[in-house]
Amino acid sequence: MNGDEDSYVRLVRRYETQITNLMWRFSRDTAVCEELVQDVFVEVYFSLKSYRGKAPLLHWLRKIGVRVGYRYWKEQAKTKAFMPLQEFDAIEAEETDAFDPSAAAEILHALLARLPAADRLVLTLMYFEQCSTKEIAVRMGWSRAMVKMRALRSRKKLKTIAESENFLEKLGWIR
Amino acid sequence: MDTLEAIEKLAQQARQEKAPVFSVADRILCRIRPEENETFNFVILELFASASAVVASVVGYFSIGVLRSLTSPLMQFFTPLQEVRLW
Repeated sequence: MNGDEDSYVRLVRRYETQITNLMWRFSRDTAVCEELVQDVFVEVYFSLKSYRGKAPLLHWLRKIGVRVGYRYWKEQAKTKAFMPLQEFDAIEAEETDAFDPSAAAEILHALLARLPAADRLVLTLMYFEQCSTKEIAVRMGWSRAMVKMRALRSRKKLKTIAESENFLEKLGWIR
Repeated sequence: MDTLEAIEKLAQQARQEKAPVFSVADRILCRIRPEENETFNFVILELFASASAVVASVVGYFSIGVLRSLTSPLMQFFTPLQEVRLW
């Protein structure tokens, strides 16, 4: 890019929506999410020399995005603050389709937040981004076998957590 | 229904959510500029450190040569002191 700011601004404007969508999975706080998006593009700017152009740029941006988000979660894990599921008692709906996607995402986000950062990352990418184990392995630089194992274990953990919090009773409208 | 199936359905619904829209380009530029200057300063510092290392290597190379030419380096190191006039 040779310090061409205009080119970089064009690149940011082109991909900021996709990166915002991704970073929204890591924090549902608007200010934090915006900060994370900025972090991703700043990191991208200083890593542009390492981009070899073998894969589409968006794949590379997402890879950096996932790593920035994961780092954020690991920092956040020290505070151990998460929203209790009781907060969602009032949410009711007749059918799954009638349920507000934002509310569904909020619940899922709160549920996944109870898992350790690595488990949370695997399930977040699977549930929200519909990533395969192979894609997760590539994005994180992990082995595929490790991702598969982690996915299996984190699903078990998630099931235990959800059952201990009477998840199905609270969201009985999911049929 | 199994808990995991319920979570799958919840995820299916959650995927339809639309994330907020930000325009971050200007703020990113504001963050990049000072960091770029910092990188530039680092380059100057690295150049200075490299030049110092080269000079130190040259001095070291000649010092070793001189040291080897001495028959008793320790004694000859102190020898000039004996000749120094104190007043």
